[in-house]
Amino acid sequence: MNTHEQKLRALEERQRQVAADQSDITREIKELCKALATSEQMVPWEPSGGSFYIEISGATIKRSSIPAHPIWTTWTKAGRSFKTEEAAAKASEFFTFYQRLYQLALECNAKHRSRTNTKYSVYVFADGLLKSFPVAADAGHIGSFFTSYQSAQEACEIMNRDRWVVPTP
Amino acid sequence: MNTHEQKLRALEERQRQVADEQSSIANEIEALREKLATPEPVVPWEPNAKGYFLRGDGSIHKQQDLNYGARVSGRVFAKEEEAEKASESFMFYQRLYRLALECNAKHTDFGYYHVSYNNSQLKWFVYQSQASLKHEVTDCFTSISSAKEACDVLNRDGWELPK
Repeated sequence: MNTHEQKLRALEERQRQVAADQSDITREIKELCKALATSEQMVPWEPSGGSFYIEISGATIKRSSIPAHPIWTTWTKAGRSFKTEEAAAKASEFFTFYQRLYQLALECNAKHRSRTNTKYSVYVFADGLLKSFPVAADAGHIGSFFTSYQSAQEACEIMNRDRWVVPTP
Repeated sequence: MNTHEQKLRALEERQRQVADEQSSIANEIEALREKLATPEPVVPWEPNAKGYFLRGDGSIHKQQDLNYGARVSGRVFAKEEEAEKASESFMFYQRLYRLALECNAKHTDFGYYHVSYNNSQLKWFVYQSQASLKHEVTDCFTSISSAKEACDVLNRDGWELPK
């Protein structure tokens, strides 16, 4: 066998290997595309279940008292069920504070109407005092319940007078 | 009785009247001072008893006999519209708090962070409070990584800020 023939054999062998590689690559690509398509079926986040529910009054109910009641699914979806009693107790403080602040804002906003769209929120300072501040116009702030400076100011005066304690995360 | 005597009588009468007036003014001043010395008792603010009760699952119920606990915890409203609006806000906050718990457990720290919605970019983003100076009542995240992860979820799942 001369040199040319040897070279030809080697090239033919290489051609077979490359063809085999190509087939493998095509198969892998197909599998990967399939896997990607499956993983893209994104599941939206939902609160997971827990054994302790925060009652409206702020009290904690243990699941064992009403174990199989379908309402647990609703409570869990609403974000009011927790894995531990401690977590539920802490959340209760947060929720009660938030709910009462919302109510106070309703009352103060009704007294002090504003023509502008500026919203005000409440901040807690290191000395424990609550003060109000405007919220940036383009920021959708989850705690900006107050529609005027006077309203936020009045609420701060009430909260400071009545010594409201803001729960920490 | 001559003119001088008449004038004297009139003056004596006037003197008696003025003395009475003086005594009455002194009494009034004393009563007022007593009132001022005792300040009016401050009644701490409490939510009013109203008509629409917002349950934990977000549903609204009209009740005559309102649950005292629900009123004190701020879940009773005067109007159905107010209760509906509050329901959106409360449900949002409750679910956000749960999400924060999960994210905080993965990224432990002791800071103060919250999330805000940027209305022009239509995107959730992290806001850090200056812990040494102040923090916000809505700070439920304890680390920037935790708040960032929550923002990813909020943006991915298309959470909308209650109006």
